[in-house]
This record gives sequence, C-alpha cells and structure tokens, in this order.
Amino acid sequence: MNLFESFRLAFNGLRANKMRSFLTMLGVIIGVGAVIALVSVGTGASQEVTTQVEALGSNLVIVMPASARGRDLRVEDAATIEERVAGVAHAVPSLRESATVIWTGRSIDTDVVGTTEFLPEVQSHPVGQGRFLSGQDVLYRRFVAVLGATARNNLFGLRDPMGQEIYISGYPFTVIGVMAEKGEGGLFTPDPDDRVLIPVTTAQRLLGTNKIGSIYVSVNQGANADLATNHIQRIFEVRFGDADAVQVFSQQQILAAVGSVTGILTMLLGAIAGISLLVGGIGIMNIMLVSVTERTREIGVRKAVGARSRDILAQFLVESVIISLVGGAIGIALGMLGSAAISRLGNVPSVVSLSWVAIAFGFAAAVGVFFGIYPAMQASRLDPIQALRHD
Amino acid sequence: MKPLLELTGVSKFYGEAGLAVPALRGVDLRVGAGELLSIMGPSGSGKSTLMNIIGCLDRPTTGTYLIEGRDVSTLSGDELAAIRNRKVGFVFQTFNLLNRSTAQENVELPLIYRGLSLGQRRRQAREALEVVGMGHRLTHRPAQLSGGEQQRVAIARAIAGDPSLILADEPTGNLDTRTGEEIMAIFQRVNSELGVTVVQVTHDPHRGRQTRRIVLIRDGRIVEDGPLPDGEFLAAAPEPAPDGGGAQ
Repeated sequence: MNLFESFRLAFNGLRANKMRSFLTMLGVIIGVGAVIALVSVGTGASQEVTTQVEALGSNLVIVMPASARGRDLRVEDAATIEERVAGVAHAVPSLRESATVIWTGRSIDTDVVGTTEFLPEVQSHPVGQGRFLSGQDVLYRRFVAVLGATARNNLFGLRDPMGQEIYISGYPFTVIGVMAEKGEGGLFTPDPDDRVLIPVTTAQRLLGTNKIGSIYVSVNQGANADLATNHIQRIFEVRFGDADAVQVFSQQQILAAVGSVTGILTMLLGAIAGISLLVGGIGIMNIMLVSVTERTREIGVRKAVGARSRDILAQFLVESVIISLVGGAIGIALGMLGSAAISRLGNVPSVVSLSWVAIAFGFAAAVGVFFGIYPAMQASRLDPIQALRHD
Repeated sequence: MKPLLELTGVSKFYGEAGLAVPALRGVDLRVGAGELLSIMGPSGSGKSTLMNIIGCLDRPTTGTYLIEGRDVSTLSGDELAAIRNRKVGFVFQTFNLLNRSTAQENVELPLIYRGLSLGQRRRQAREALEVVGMGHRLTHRPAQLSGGEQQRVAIARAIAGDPSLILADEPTGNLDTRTGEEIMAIFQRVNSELGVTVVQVTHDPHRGRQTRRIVLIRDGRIVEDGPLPDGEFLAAAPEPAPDGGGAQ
C-alpha cells in the first residue's frame, strides 16, 4: 500500500468523525496560533524598543546609581563630567518625579523632570514653541516650565499655553515653552513627549533634596563613546571607592541589554504558547487512542484481508499528522490575524517572522508524529484474532 | 496431485510453557484444491483454533502447515498477512464489513493491500459483487443492506482477490434459514464454477451436509474425516432473483 492510499484512508477516517476531528485539531490550532501571535508581538516589541533606544541619540551616555548599593548623584557630578572627560559636549542632570499638574481646574498626571539648559541638545529633542530653560532659570531656581507635546495637549487642548500659570505639586510655574513632538512610542522607555521640564534646582527645592536621578551625557561627534564611558566610570570609582556604585551605559550597551531582555521575553512567550501546543498534542494522542479502541474490529478485518502492521501504522499515523498539519496551517493563519488584532487593539507593534512560522509548523508536525506514533503502534500491534472478536 | 493445504502434527498451546492449555493436539489434515468441506465440532473443541491456523491468522506451536507446498508455520506476521491477502478469503459469522464504506469499497479492501490501482480494484470488486448477485448494490453501505445482502458482500470481498481458499466461520449462523440456504448455494456455486476451495466451520449438521466432506473435531483432535456418503449431499435451495433476495 502506498502513501497516497494511506492519506486517502486517513482522510476518510477523519471525515467519518468530523466534529471530533475538528475539536482535536482545535488544540493544535490554538497552540500554533498562540505561538505565532505571541512571538510576533514579542518580536515587534523588541524592534520597537530598539527604535526607541536608538532615538535617544547614538552619542548618548547615561549615568545612574546602581540599584543595589547605589550612591547618590549630585548636580556637581554633571559639571565634573563636562569639565574632565574628553570628548564630552554636555552633561545634564535629570531628576524625574511623577506629579499632578493643574491648570485652571484641569489636572493631569505626568512626569516632572528637573534638568538644565542643555537637555535639548543632549537628548536631540528641540523646542517647538517659545524657549527652553536658560542657565539663569537654573541658577536662580525660577518657577518656569517647558511642556512636552503630549502634556501640553492633555492640559491645554487647543488653547495657547504660553505665559499661563500652571501648578505643580501646589507651586505656581509659568509656561515658557513647548517641546517639539518626538513621537517615539513611550511603551518601554518613558514617553519623551509626556513630561514637564523645570530647572533642576527648582525641582530639588520642591522635593527637599540635593540628589539627582541620573545624568545624560552627550559625546561629541567623532569622539570615542566607549572611552568616555570608561573615563566616567573611573571618576565615580575614585570618588566612591566602589567600581559598582554607579552604572554608566552607552547607547550600544543599552541596546544590547534591552535586546537580550526582549529576546528572553519573546522566548518566554513562545515557550508558554508551545506548552499549549504540547497540550494539543496530548489531545491528539487521547483521541487517537480512543479511535484505535473503537476501530479495533475494523483493524482486525483489515489485518485478516492482508493489511501488514506497517499499513495499519501508516493509516493511523497519517491521521494524526493530518490533524496536526491542517491544524498548524489554520493556526498560522489565525495567529497572523491574532497578532494583527492584538497590535491594533493594544497599540503595540507586531512582526510576524517567517522563521517562527516555519518553527511553529515544524513543531506542529513533530507533535503529530510524536503523539500519533504510540496509538498507531498500538493499532498495528493488535492481534487480528483478538481484534476480530472485539465488540 | 499436491494438496492445497497440508497440516502435519499441528498442535497449538495457549499460555506459558508448562501451564499451557492445548487447543489442538497433533492434527493431520489434507485438503485438495477445489474441495468443499466442513469442519464440525462442539464449542471448545478447537475448531476455531484450527480455522485460525488454516487461515494464517495464527501459527501452530508445533507441527508444519503447508499452503500450496509452502511452509507457513515459521513465517513472520507480515509474511502471513501477505499469504492471507493473496491466498485466503474470509467470511465471518458477523459479516465484519466496514460500516462507513460502501459495498464496493468493502470488496476492494483486500485489493488495496495488494497494491492494485484504483481502476483495477473497482473492476474486480464490481465483478465479484456481480457473482454474488449484488451488482446493483455497489454504493450501499452495510446499514442499508439486509443480513443476507451483507453476507453476500462479504463473500464478494472473499473472492475478489481470486484466492485459492475461502474460509467461512459459521457463515449462516446469524441468518434465518431461507437466507442461509441462499448463502450456502453461493458457496456451492463459487466452489463448483470458480473451482475455489471452500472450508466451512459450523456446528449445524444440516449445513455440514451441504458440503462434500466433513471433518469432525473434538478435544483438539480430528475424530472423523471423510467424504459424505453418496446421496447424503444436499444442494442448497436455489437462489431467488437478486432483487427479492435475502431480506429478513
């Protein structure tokens, strides 16, 4: 008996129990669909975060306290870096705190960032309207604010914010400018458009602190960012007597770190989805075992008229492989639709990768063979005499 | 002439060695080509075991069994399957047709495992169904057929592959008397016209007398074996027209 006959027999067998075949297939459909959808969303997220980090600027170095035994950074540290490290253009402090901002009874929750006049250059984020904070504003701890594009829209709508008085944590600030819209997501890094920028000195006074959260350093075009990174690291190592007191990242290092995190996330999503595919496979095995028991007499008749063990094996194995392959194909289609739907509804990017489609389909086929082989062997090993007596 | 089937000292034990229960004890049996015979005996006599061995569904524990001169007692499962496929046609008491398949597909079944093309299978199946008077019921499924009609389809399945031997296990046991007569008439006709050897297992003396030789088995031994005396042979009642045939 050739393979074509095996397929014909298997199709007939599956057709005879349409509902059951479909439900069995559903396990594979959901499994493969979940793999495709989740991995696509994971891949999309990782590409998105890469884009966002790249948008920070390729010549950017970030200094922040190490999380475990971090030492506090000061405004003066930024000045030190700017003075002593070769190739550094500017170093700006950043003190970020979430706060409620009020304008004539309307209020929004946003991030308030204390910084200095060079932030637009360091973060490649220009002013759109009015002016940015000046050195004088910082020096005299003025109560002036520059709005991010999103914060401005949320608070003022269509009205002109220039010169208006807003309240941040109860203190009045005058709006002196609005940043241009940067438009880089904000799903994985803080949204650069949803923030209010004020002088770092004013922010410290409001919070009653002399710390800052982090320092953004821009390195001159053509200067060696790695060299600057090492130099900055050493400055803090000497100052704190601890190599791990602060963390200094160049954009390349952030990209690598983020890449490995999102890679793990994608693998994790894929693995979770893979488990459901495995459960689908167990469903196939279960149904095939039932099917073999039910059709014991048929197997007996087939063997009596001359079917060899391998003919019976092929018939049942092909049935389970058909279930998994057809289920896999439908699952891939639904998974692509699903990832598009998640992407649209959840406003997250998704990228269907061909290699994952191939992996999911191959895995589905393997599931069909793996979970189909045992029931098929059971069927092929039946003794025809016993099988014919079975009722 | 060489016998079609030749069993020499065939014994069959079930269970483990030492505790083994004998089902057959040293059976010698020769069946020539073209014979029509009955194996008879009470239940538990070993006649089913003997039939399984003759049909190559089972192997003797000791002794030799030759079909057309070929020793099958040492063959593997797949080799036995090939012998069953080419040399033996089975007819069962409970018909054992595949419920989801049409009459024609049921008859094609042994031919599939012989690797014949679809067209060839169709043609042979149709011819076999015509021989048993079921040429007009090709696309019916077993559930749409009467018991007698199902058994005719089963006989067509047995003869479709042009076997040397038809083995029928209580073929009329599930049928009423009149339908049983029709089925026996088909066996007699297949035997005389196609020259196929027919071995029937039965416990019904009347059915036994519709074959030409009776082998009586008891406690795993053949106790009587001989041709029916002249005049004792009963020709089965002639078949009625196929359209009215076999309805219960």
